[in-house]
Amino acid sequence: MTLLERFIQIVKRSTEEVSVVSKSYWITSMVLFLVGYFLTNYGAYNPLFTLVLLAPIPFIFGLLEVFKGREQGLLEMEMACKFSAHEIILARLFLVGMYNITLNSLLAVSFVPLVDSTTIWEMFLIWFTPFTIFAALALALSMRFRGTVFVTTFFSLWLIFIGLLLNHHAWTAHFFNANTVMYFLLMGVGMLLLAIQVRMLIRKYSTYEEGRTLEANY
Amino acid sequence: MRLTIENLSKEYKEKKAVCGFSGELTDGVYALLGPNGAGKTTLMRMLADILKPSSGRILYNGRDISLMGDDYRDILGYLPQEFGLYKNFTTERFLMYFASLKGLDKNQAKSRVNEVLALVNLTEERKRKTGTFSGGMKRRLGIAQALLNDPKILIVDEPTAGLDPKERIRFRNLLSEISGERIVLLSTHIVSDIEYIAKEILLLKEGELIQRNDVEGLLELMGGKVWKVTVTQEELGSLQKTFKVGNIHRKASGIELRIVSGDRPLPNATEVQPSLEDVYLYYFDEEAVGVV
Repeated sequence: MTLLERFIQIVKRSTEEVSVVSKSYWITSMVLFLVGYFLTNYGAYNPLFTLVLLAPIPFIFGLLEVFKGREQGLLEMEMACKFSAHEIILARLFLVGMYNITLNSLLAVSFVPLVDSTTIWEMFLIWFTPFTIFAALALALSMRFRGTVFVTTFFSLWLIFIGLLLNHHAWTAHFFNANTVMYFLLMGVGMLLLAIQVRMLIRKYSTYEEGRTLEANY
Repeated sequence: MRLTIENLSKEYKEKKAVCGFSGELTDGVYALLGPNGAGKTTLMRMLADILKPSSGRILYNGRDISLMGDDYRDILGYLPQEFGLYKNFTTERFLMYFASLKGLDKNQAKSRVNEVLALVNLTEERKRKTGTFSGGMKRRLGIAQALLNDPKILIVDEPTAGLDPKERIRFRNLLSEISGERIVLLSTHIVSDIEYIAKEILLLKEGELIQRNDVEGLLELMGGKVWKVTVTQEELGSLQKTFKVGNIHRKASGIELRIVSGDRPLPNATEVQPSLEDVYLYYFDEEAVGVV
């Protein structure tokens, strides 16, 4: 099977996985973005900052849905199915990733009237660049830590990043006005890290031996 | 249909879990019997192709299962010893989801779900959330998911753990019923689970296959090795230290012991018919778990 055929299979599988992902996840993520939209529209918040702040959050909560089988003890049973555990995980990963990108894109489009100096394309680069890096980090953490430990660890790191942006206006300004080449460079690093993590994930959840190692559950 | 296991071994850092296991399995129920830590689960995981062997290989009709991928999982049904359920799913939804994982289309899945629900006696619970299930119901649902794709090879690890006697009987009858044209491999340390249904029993100790035979064959090997003797309280302690004592039955006339020994343990000991529990005691040097 070629890489493209595999990808198509994963995409098809992801449509079956929609019903497994809990409704509260879909709703909470959407509500979060609506709150972000209204607060930015009616408050005095920087739309670009809102975009960066919210960008990875649905993905983080989504990872709890991605690893639901592992969390609830179904991994071994799923590994023995035709669509094996790693394919299920990839399909759910694709699903939450797409949902996250859709929400971010809609929010970015809704902010267009609020920002004069930045084009929609620049807005995309501003939120997507940190998103790729933090998504790779989140994936790495989620393979090693379960449930609440993963969420707590990731959000601690995320809050440190947001805190740095809030307290160092010069850094924020640099980040929002960086050269396009710099965004592409960082995005490339993020995408590479993400690809490495996905590769590790496939290896880890293809066999029971790998799947049960390196996980901490407190 | 033939599953050939060739010199299969699995080593972890400090331990050899399975050591040079070889054998061939054809249609029927096979039982892996051994104490905890004997390597049963490791062997079953390798047979389910979810754990890679350190050496050796497994062939299905001459094809290496590690190279078969989807084709092997298509003919495989597997129920691990410990498993969870999506607790907010109903029974039906859970099985429909697993049917999709096993590659069944919607129409096929619907009729197959109805069949397996009837087979495991869960039809009336089809709309019930799996989170409310008892241990027995959970295990029945587990076997139902393993049967969804009508597997040619069914591997069930300790399937009767946590079941009450009625459910155990129902379960072993179910396994026997469905074993017609498939290979059923179950592991247990409870001898009564397999006594009446196993075509062959494979005794596993410290990762090695130490004996393989049908029930009659195993009992025959035990001929002249099982004794009954009545002793006093004073004699009991020393006999327990010297021999493998199965049953201790206190009677008005004294304490009646069932002893497994190659030699007559006492001059007044009488030879008795061996049972599978005696086989277990003889090979594993510990009391058999003989729950009905």
